[in-house]
Amino acid sequence: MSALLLHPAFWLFSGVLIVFVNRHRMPGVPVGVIVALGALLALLRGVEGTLETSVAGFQLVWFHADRLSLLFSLVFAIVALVGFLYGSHRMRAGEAAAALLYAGSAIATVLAGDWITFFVFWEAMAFSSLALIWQAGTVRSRRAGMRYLLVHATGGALLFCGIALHLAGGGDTSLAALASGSPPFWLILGAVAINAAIPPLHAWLTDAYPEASTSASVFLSAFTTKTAVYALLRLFPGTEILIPLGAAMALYGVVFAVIENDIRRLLSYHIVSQVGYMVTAVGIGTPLALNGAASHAFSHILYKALLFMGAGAAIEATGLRRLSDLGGISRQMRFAVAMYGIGALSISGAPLFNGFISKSMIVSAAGEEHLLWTELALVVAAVGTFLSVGLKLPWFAFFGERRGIPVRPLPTNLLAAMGIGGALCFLYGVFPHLLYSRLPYAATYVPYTLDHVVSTAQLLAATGLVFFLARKTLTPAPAMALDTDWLYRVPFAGGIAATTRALGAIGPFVRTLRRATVAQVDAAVRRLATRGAPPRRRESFAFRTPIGWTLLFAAAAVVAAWVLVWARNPG
Amino acid sequence: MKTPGTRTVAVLGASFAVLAGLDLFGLWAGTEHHGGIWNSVPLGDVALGMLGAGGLIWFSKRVLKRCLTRSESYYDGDSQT
Repeated sequence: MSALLLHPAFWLFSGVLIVFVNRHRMPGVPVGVIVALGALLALLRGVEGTLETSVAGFQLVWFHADRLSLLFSLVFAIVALVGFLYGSHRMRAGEAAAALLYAGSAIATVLAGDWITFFVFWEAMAFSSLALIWQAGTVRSRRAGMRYLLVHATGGALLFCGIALHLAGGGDTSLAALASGSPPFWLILGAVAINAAIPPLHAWLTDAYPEASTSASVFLSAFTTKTAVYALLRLFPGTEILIPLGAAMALYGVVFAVIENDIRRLLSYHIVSQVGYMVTAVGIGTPLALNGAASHAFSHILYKALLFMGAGAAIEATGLRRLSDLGGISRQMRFAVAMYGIGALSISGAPLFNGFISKSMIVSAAGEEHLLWTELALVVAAVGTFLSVGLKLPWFAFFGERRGIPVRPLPTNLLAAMGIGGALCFLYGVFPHLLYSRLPYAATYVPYTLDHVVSTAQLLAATGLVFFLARKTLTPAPAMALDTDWLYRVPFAGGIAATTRALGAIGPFVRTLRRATVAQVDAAVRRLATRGAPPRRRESFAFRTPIGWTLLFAAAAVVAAWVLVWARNPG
Repeated sequence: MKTPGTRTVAVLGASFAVLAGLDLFGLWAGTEHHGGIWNSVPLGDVALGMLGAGGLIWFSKRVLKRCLTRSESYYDGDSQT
């Protein structure tokens, strides 16, 4: 019982109940702040032990704490607390409940000690994040949420089938690295790759995160991709295919960010890029590289939340989200811009900020293993990061030409949350042992050497000079760049529409069946997604494809479950 | 856009001179170097930074933008999910 009370996710899940029961009487945010603080204190106090139950012959380990899972849990609890503080002036009960469930599921996922518990909370995370995206209540968020569901239902099916095959093949229920090259290995790696947003499976991220509310995007930036990094660290350390994938990912994000006009979409591409560093490090697999992946995930969660808070501050103050519309507002929001600057220097790996102490560890690990091209790709990606997040975005959004844009004052809670985020990025950057003492693997690293500092300063200075000379070329224009989501937004959706029309032409039986099943589910989901508001007529189709995939996922899950049960009890 | 003033050029020049000085000091003092060749020649990181940033801008703005950029209303009004 004591272990249950000390489980950090327990605090957050109980917060969901409190918010739900009191949804008409009190706002959800104070509850969020209190329970996130409770989870954080539970972690800081030092949680130990395991919490196990036996269900249908399976030993479920709800709680298994080691240095790796505690590191991720700690930073998840920190960002949950900061996120609730940031959004407390605007969050409704529904959004607070979804955020609590999402944060709790993320913590429960990294503390899970067996495959089944891991799967349950992994899926809870997917559905609670979907609810969080839908809470924005816009047509764009509704549609992006549906595409998000489509991709994550596919990922969930892959994960379930992988786990089922692993267990059916006599595999142990405890969460541990898989035999390389086996079918469960590839299925589970595919599922984790979707959540890690490894291109070409990344477009759900850059599609959905910018459409969530400003406070929701702070939560979204922290949990899904980083639990995937945790899963990679736990299950696939030293998988060499991850090295080129991660390096390509690091470059992919920065290349797209250079031409991006939407500020939160630009930052989303940089999630892809930064997670690329972590994926590369997991692929390298040395203790230094694995510590680099874990510490960069920790740093990334803090500075990326700060950057999304900065972007959200600009959106809240002006109502504008595109670089081509913004500019010249820095004097009216000096503190928020300063805090954004700390986040930008952190993600760029500038000395004295937390990105420096973690990113340089990964680059050094690549250097130690003589992976020259990988190291070069990571260095160029770092240059591109400073170019987009450290120079382009602040120049065109906050500085640059003054356009007389009216700027609303920002609420104190928002600025306080940004202040905490900025302070943490600086604190961990100046005192790296605060983070290094919590790292899971036995490897020592000294970030502040003359070589590292001068090298980084030269790279950043050179990038600044190039930006200074080429800033006219980088002037953003109101346009969008096609990405891999085009594949399921145009040809795939067209194919499904054509198939639906063809089926409709077969006869009255199909039409009756369709009315009795799809239309009913469609209507139910539409009511949920639109929160009761009547949708536009043309949106009707938007709900069918993901529902089809979800039903397919459910069918796959049933088949896999049957295989699993049969394999365990063949008689 | 304004052309850079004398002060800007002076600040930039001084900054790069300091960085080059630190780099040379590091080489003279024989500090351990990590990574590729760009890290072991004076101002190699500056060269890599300029080439990297220039290359990224060229590729993104000249190649990617030309091939993949569409109007913001590209996905509006169709039957996409």
